[in-house]
Amino acid sequence: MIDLGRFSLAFSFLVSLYVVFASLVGVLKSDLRFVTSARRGIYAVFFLSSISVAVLLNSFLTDNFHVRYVSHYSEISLPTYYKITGLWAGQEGSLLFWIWGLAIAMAMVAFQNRKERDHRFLPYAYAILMVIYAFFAILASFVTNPFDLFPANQIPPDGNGLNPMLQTYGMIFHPPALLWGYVGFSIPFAFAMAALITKELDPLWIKKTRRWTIFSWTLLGLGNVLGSEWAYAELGWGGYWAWDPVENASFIPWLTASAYLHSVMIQERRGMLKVWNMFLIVATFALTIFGTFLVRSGVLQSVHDFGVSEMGPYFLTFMFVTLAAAFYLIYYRWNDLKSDNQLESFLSRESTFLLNNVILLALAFATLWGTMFPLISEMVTGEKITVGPPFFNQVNTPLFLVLLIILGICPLIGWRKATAENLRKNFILPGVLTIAAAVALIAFGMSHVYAILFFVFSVFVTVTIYMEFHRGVRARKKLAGEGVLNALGSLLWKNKRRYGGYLIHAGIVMVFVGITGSSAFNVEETQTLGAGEGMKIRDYTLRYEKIYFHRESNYDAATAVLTVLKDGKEQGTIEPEKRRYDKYAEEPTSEVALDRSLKEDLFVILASIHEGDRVTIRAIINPLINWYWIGGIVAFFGGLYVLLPEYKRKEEAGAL
Amino acid sequence: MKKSHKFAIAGAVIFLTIVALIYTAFKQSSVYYMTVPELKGKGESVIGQGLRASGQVKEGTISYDSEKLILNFDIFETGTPTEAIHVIYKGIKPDSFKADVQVILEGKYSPQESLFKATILLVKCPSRYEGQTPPPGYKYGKPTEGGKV
Repeated sequence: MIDLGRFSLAFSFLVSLYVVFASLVGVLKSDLRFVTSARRGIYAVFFLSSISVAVLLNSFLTDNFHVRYVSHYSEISLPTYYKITGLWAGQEGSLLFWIWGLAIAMAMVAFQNRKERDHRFLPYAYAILMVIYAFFAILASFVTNPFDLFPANQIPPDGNGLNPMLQTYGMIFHPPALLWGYVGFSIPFAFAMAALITKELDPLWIKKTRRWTIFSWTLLGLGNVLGSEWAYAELGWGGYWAWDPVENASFIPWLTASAYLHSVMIQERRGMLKVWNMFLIVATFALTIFGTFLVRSGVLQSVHDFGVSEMGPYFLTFMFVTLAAAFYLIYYRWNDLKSDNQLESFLSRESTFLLNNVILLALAFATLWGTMFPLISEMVTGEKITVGPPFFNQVNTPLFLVLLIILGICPLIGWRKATAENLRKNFILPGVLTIAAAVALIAFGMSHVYAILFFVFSVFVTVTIYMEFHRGVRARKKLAGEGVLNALGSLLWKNKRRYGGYLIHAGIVMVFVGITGSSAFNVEETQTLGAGEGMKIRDYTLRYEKIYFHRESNYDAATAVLTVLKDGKEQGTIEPEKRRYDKYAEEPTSEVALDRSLKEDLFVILASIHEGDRVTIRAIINPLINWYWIGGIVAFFGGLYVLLPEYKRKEEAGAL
Repeated sequence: MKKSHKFAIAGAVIFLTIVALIYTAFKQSSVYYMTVPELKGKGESVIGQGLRASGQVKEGTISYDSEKLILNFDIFETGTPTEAIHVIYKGIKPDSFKADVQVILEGKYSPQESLFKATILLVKCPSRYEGQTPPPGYKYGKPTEGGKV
């Protein structure tokens, strides 16, 4: 059975080599039979890698600890759904999961384009994708094979169990979202490179991969948000984002992908920024590989380390070869990537898009710089210099602010060149409301400058988004004579790309509000208490009642019971916990107790237990934080909405 | 002025602003990462400088005041236990903190007293997300060593 998994994986590698060969022969000899054969090869790769995944999954579900990987990440008493997550819990499995994702994506691309005969870039794209697949399949088959077995006489009776920090619902969605978000960018990258090779540089390759880009971008964003929610609710340090190298590794490609998403719109509409878009998609793809490398190589200190492995050199080599080939192709086609148009005015949507791109890239660069600096400085000077969260916050906060402002300005400014009349008309309402918001916040005594700016411009963006909907609905009411709700419905249905985009923007504004509230106004208090004693935090009092000890399926727990009082009135109890998992007795973990609301979270940790049942309690109030997760979910659904099939009638389809 | 010049100037201004932003932030918040011997060897030059240090917690030197939340201990570079420095950390003692673990500290160092005042204390787990204690009776697969720092 295990041999079947190992065999399918290795065989899929051979088939992927065949696909590379067949697609290239097909395109070079203009022989469609080879291309057809290559396409079938892609289906075969999908089939084979699916078998591998199924075998590994089955090993988890049947507690087959003969398999090293299974014994490392599972145990008999582990709940079934966590056994399934074992697939991506560690190095070997997550790599298999990665290539399976790529195989699925490739099979879908091949299927979508099965009737396409005219475009020479398709076979090249297949070949490039299969080279990527082959690289990862080599790693999974020969370097870190998930099907490695223990010798028959050393099969352990039970596995090591899943790390307690991974035993949380975040484990179910966060890793697949990130991994498949990473994987998805292979598709636009491969198409871009294929378009360069064949010189078919009209925006067709962009159109063909637009959905993949949005899909991957959406998943990567969701993965980041879920990851920070996990860190917040599970790791118990009180925050949700630490600018840890691995967090950065998934955030940086998201930034470059966001830039790419926007700038390809300019290429589609105005035939500009062709080189820039090529650069962005290459950078995004390279950064996803780099991110995979960072997580797995152990070169940087991080909470996410999979441990040191020998995969580093493979990834670096692959990344450099990819970059060299991609940049050579861009250079080779330089003359064919000239812009059809020029920027006409500062006050045009193009230039706001461009500024948005510059800011996103600046964020990406600053974050990458801060992440890599310890390595760079050690290589150059021999001294290790690191930068922590203060660096990232100091650089990125003003950049985020500019980004937020652009988010509001952009829809107010027309394409090509905006007129003074157009500006006055569009800016009056949001301008007035923004100033009113600023006055109100200051009158309420808010003095945190960044917080005021972020809140005020969130109001600004919200108003502009509202105006877009309002205007669209009014126009439809006039044109089609529909009622408000009908008008709104058909507006949304017929312009999914545009209004889905605004939905995403609205989500992003919520994210900004959540981050601002929780980072500018959080309050923290730590105290050691005996039974009956209370601690004050802002207008809350936490009264420690008792602690009790209990046994659960695979861990021992101690739960402290605290009564929450707000302004002297009892609000109920909150029960932070400390757990000691059987398989991880050396590392007790804290279970955070959270009282969530839209206004603020009360976050309580049982930090330590002392003699006489005295406990150290750490409490944090995080204002507005839930808007971060809500915004993330809204943006996610906005992304899904954009992915729905487009409304067909040409004259109705609103231009973005 | 030609339009393309205007855009070039605007671009340059934006670019320089961003560079300046990164540069100043970097000046203000970069910290040196040192081992204990390196820290001792630096002498006076490290006073007031933001530092990150790593080392092993020395047995028998830990004292924790659980009411005031003050943790005292010594750390040394693995292999040279006599060359230790004293650390004061105000905050909660992490769960996995105990003698002989590797820790990472951030804070300031005063060479006269050989005293490191830490504002951040992290315990390095050699394999945080790996299953790490193999059941007795079989050999663990590939060795997973701690990070190289």
